[in-house]
Amino acid sequence: MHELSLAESILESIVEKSITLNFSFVRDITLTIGVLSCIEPDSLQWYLTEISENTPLANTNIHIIKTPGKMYCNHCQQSFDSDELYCCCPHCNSTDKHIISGDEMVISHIAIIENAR
Amino acid sequence: MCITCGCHPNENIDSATKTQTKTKTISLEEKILQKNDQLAKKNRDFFLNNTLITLNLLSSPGSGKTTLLEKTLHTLLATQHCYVIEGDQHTDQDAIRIRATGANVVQINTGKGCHLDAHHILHGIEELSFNSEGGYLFIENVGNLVCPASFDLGEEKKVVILSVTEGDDKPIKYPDMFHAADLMIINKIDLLPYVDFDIATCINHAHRINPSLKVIELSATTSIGMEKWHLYLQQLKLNKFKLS
Repeated sequence: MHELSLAESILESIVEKSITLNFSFVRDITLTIGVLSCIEPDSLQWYLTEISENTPLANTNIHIIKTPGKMYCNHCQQSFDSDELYCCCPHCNSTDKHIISGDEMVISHIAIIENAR
Repeated sequence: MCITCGCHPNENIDSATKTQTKTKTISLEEKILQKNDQLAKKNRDFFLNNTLITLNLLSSPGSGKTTLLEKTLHTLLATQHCYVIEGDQHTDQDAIRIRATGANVVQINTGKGCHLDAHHILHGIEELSFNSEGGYLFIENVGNLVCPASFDLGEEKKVVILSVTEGDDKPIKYPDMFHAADLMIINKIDLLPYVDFDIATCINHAHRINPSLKVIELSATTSIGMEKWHLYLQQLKLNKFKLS
């Protein structure tokens, strides 16, 4: 359900930019969502589509890049790949780790159609 | 229109009559929650400047969050100024209970919303009258173990409350919340003889998700362990402001 709030945040940002950058249509929007983030990408895409009628994001192609999880073991000081928060270091079995990447929630880029000046 | 942050209903843009020209790619690399995070920083600065320790209390409905807060305030108000922002979908039931303790409280109703965000807190702060001596601000978030984990409110610490009646596997079933939290309070420990809950298993699960998560076991109803929670609160204020 929080994907609705996140979709609203995306829409609000794009609407603001449509005014400052003078465009009415976004042909494509690319979002980068890490697998360790709190977002369900399909849910986000659905909500974004649902709330975008009559906005610059109406009929926009939504592309979601899912980035993998990478963690660092504080015990043996090696990095490892994991798409789960509930994991151990595969090198030493320690649970003392932190996320290096894979928890991003980013609007990466948009392809816009500029208004005539 | 909100004069603090300029919030207003989204304006729909009629695209049917616009003339279109060339396509252009714009790199943004903007966090989806950038606006929330900016407001959270604003809140955080306010708390710092007003010597406030702010705790974001998170849990499922029924964990005993409001009772814990009531009992905490009964003790804390003897020596500290305390303020509360209550978050629920509807009613001011919890605000009524908290107001009876003597704390300064404001109720925020989210309607269909399932969590508080930094914007809610910004407006909540406006409705509270803060003493210049500072104190504690408790934010009792909407009862929900999923959505509130994602939203920075500007708090000092996120405190997740889990009762022994909910099952010791909650941390692995809701990892995002336990990963985001700073402290886990295991509540209702007076009921341990009557439920199938293993404390060591629960803590082990939680630490696999978040190795740095602190844990306090207590019963808000019987007051067992409450002194550890009060000590935690004291330490926060001492460490942050060098004040007792």
